[in-house]
Amino acid sequence: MRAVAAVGVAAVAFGFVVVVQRGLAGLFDLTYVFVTGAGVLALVQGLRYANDARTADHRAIETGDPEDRYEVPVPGDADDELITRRGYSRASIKRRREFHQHLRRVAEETLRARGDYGDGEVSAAVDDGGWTDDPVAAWFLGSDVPPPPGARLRRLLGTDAEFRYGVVHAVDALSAARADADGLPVGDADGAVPDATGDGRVGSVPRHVLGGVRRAGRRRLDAARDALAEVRR
Amino acid sequence: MTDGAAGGREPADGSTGANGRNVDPLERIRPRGVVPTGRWTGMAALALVPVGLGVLLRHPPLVLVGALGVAFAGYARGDTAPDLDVTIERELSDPTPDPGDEVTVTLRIRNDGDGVLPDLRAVDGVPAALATDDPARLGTALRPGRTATFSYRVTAIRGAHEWDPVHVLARNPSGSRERDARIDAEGATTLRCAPELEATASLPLRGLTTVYSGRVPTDVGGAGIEFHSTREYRHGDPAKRVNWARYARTGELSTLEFREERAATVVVCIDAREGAYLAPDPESPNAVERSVEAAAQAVPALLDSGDRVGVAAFAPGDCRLDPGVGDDHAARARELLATHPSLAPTPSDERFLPTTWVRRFRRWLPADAQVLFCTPLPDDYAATVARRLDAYGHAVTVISPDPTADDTPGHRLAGIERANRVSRLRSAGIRVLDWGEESLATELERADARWSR
Repeated sequence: MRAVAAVGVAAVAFGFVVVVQRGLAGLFDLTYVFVTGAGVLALVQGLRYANDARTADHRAIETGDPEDRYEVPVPGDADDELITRRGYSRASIKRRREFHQHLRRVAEETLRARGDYGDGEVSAAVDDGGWTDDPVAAWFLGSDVPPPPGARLRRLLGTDAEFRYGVVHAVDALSAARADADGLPVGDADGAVPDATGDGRVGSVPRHVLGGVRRAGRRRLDAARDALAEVRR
Repeated sequence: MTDGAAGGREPADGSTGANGRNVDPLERIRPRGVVPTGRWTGMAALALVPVGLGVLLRHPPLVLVGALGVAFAGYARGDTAPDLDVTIERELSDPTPDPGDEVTVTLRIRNDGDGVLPDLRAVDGVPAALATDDPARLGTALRPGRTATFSYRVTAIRGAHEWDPVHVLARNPSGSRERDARIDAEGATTLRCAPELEATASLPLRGLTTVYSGRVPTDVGGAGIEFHSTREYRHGDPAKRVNWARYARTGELSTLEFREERAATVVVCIDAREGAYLAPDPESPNAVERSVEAAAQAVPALLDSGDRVGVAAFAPGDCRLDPGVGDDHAARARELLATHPSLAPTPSDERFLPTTWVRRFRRWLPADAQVLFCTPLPDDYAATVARRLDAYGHAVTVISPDPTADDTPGHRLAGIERANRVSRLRSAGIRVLDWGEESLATELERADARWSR
């Protein structure tokens, strides 16, 4: 580039000198070679300009959209962005692992709110997947649950597909658990218990209490069956 | 020649976004003033390539074609950006409308310069909280001394809405250069919409009261309506409170005691942190809007029943109204709820330190004050604040507008987390009104029935 500039400066300087010393123009004969050289130069320079135009940044000032109202986010937008993101990178793996841990904490809290597990039992219930009927959710949040066939298949498609599959099922299962919890009465400041009469009761015992007892009984029965199977073995 | 900058009409802070609306961050660093568009870049090639080819091919007409390119290149390079010397006036059909009213905004742009503005574009800085279906922009050519007018309509919502300066662009005829300026309009720049405070049917309060009589039943025996106990007659007890039935039966004088009803001091606290600006969809009012609406219904209801009411915002800025009573106090509360910047319909950019705020709020809060905390519970910290205030002896009631949606896994998960927060607060003994899609009055009636059992 510097050489081209030097040639250009020299040519211009020579041109000025020729204006004063006309005789110097005679050094160059307007022969075919000279004219062809000038033509080649013009063509090369023209092509350079054309190439610059091709890659040039065409700018225009943006005016924005002041007619639109300010939009606020929906709670969970950031999670959706993570869930739907495709690909495989170190950052995405880290974020997915953190999200998985977060989802597990939410699951434990939801089960505590549902009230059929004691504080010490919640973590074990999530580990063994006994908190839900959904095998995918049980596998995704648990640690002792083998992956179901659907998850194995998605693992072949990529970890992002497997992650998405697990999250969707886990969130659905948590929604169901949360719906159970919302069916439970929650003592308010006055100790009042909603829906403690009418349809909320079976005999003198509220339905949610019966539900909790049934679930706890079913778990104990399952545990006893497992223990019996071990003994037989 | 005075453009916006030279004429001193640029906004002092140099803000570029339309009232903080979601804008491309690159726009903030784009240069102001004259901007070459690059539209004619490479025009020299149109001159040089035919000349070069004409020489090489020994074809004189091609060399003449090159002359055409020289003319174009000269036109593009010689054309300068037009001087932008305009005056803009803005007029609002009603600067203090009621919520929901349509307000017509009219802009007049006059070319005060000596030259023609061949391509003038003006985009008004509509406040971010206001929306319009009409275009708030104009594209025209303007001769010296002439005025162009355009108008659009906005629907008023609560708040003091300030217009941004008008974004004006002027291009030269070839479009090779643009001049860009933000020009403050003369005339109306603020629309103030203050809704009337409308009381709900009743607002259930907790037992923390003052010594003044009111409507909150207490566990103290005395004058009132609901029976509390009987005690031995004391000289001076009013005759209407003597238990005459017992006197007739046993001949002993005794006095009836009723639950004393006393007034409460209530501070309505609105969570207006940036994280509380949430909505289930773009059409719905955001959670801060709904919280302010709840406060606007609670404040007059409490004042009507003789309670002392204060207002505060859990948000950047010092938004506090000391507890008080009376019509003047109600007017101050109305003004604060309607127009205080901390409760604006769009979030503030100010830095906010929540722990410092809680410490200061506690110092400011009267010892016998209850807290009505309006928050969508967007995070665990909001629940922590409610529990902490309750633990300090300020009976807390949470009114929580629900901003969650359930159309995607992420949205459903956010809903579950919020429901868990509600459960946690309730199990800590704090009343929570989970405000869904029904009206607040309906939800309050339902909650009142539940809480009074």
